[in-house]
Amino acid sequence: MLAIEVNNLCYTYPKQVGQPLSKINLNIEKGERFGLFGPNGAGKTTLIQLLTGVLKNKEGSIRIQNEPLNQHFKNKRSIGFVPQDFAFYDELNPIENLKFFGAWSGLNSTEIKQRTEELLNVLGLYPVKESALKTFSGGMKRRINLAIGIIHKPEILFLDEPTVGVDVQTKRAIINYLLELNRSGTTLVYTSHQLEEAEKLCTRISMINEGKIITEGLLNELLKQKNVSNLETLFLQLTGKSFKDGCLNF
Amino acid sequence: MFKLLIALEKEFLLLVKDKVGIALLFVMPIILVITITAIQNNTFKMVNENTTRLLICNRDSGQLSSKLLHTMDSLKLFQSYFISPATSLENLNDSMKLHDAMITLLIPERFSVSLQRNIDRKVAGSLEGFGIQNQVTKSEHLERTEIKTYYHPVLQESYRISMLGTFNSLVAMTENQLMVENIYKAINGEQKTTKPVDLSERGIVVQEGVAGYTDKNSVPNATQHNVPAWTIFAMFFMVVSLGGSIVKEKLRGSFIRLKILPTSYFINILAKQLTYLFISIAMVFVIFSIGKFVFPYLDLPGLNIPSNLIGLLTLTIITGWCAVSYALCVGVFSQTQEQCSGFGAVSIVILAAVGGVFVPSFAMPASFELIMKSTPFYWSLRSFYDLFLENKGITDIGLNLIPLLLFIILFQAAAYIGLKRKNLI
Repeated sequence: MLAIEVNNLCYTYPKQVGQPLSKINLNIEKGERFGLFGPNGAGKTTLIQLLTGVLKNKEGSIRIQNEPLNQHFKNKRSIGFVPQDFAFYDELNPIENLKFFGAWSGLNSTEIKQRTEELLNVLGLYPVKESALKTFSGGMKRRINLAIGIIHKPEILFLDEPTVGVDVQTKRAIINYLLELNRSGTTLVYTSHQLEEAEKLCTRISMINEGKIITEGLLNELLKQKNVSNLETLFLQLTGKSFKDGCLNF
Repeated sequence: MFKLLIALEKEFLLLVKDKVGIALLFVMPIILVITITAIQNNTFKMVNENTTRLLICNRDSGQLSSKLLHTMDSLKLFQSYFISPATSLENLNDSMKLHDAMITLLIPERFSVSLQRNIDRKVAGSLEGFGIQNQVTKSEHLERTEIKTYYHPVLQESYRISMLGTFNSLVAMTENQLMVENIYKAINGEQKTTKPVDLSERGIVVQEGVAGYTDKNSVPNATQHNVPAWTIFAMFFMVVSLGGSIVKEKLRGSFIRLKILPTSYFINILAKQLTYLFISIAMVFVIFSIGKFVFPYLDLPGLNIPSNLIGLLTLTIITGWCAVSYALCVGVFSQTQEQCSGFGAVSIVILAAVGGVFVPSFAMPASFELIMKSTPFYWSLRSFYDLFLENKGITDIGLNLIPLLLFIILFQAAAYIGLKRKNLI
């Protein structure tokens, strides 16, 4: 069963502030660990924002679990998002944040309490449950950012650089937890520039450059096909060595 | 309902945890109201209670200037300080600074001579009509002499005009008294010891009263005027806090989550509005309580709370909602917090100035009437004055509430369009 189905998706920003997307076609299976990669400014964030409903597409179609995205309000509960930016209220503590976003995700009071306990324990945040997030380290903030994104047990989880700026221990803990989530059936749509980490997490990948998908397939097969040993080499082979965000090389 | 309650809880927590924000919301308006009331009350006292410092430079060696100064002293309007008649105009400023004086009265050298001649002329002219011969020589022309007043540059025009009127009255009083004395002498002869009529004794006194007030103690004062006016200002000044909160939420990462979760952003906006509406009502309660209970301890007149409490509550809620709606509108259309606080604060000062908070609406130019009436401040202030100064009922202020409700609809509609256009709801 398809978790996400994208057909001929095009998008142009009203004031040309971002990379336009042209004719994106993408199928992501339920329970898959899918990686979306590309240089800065390639259109990854635009695509994720379209898939999560933050941006509205005018051309092409997006279907989530066999339903059109625009008629998909009830299924939004099935979508989780862990953005690259810290997406919480840093004046509040973890419990207060989880309570607010839990309610916003459609959970009731009992479910919120239960999930808050669970997540704070699993992610090692229980001892600091009553401290304001602004006092947290970068790693702790990343963990609470993840906890908020999965409080409602989403079936599809979008992760935009979930481990950026954290130490090895935190990175390892987050990746292991994501693998555990995937084992329990959650579809992961992951984007990152940390390609070594991506290799561990993703089974299938898609490369996007200048608003177009330039390759897609199972990671192992692509590496074999292009005769390269790792994702980083594949990435450079497909997207080139020059800067892609409009800057000059130095 | 559960989501709204949770959103309300979040807004309250965010507010309570922001100590500086709370201080700005409550402490600053209280300081503002106390300061403005104290200043206005002091200005009133300064004019009426002998607190204006006056510097006198008397260059006249005659007796009439002393008589003028004696009359002035008897009125107890000024604290007078004498400086040397030789003080030059260049040094006058330093002398004023030295004595902390606001006004200097400069009596010219020939004041007594000129005044005496003018009185003689008038007395002779008056007696001629009765066929009484006067020994005094009548001069042909009125002698012009100038008493000059020098003001501190900070004194406002209205105050200067008031002082000028006082000095003119003093000169007229002295001149009239001398005229009467001279006529009396001319008729009765120098040998008569009977005192002439004292012109300072007044049978007819002009008393002030306030329309609709029978109790002298409840007559409007600086507190009754300033507390409601500056409370409205403080309520609208919430634009900095609420507008800033909306912009901050739009800019921070959490906003993207709010957009993808299955709850309308409208609930969040509603929670913000309800929170700040509560804050504005609490603000009014605190400021009015301070006006009533704390002001008397600060030597300021206490605030008389109107008897129509339902009207007061209704007006407070509607004004608060109007202020919240304006803040929402500014917050939705601002791109950055700097834009919001800059535009919000300046626009509130302009609206308050046009709406009659700084200058009474009756003192505005006629051409301003339409602009004045197109601000929520005008209608809110008018309603508060109806309650505080005229003790009117809810039905009387009802008509003023309609424009305020229209402003609420206008601001809410604009905010809704803004949110829709920005794909936020």
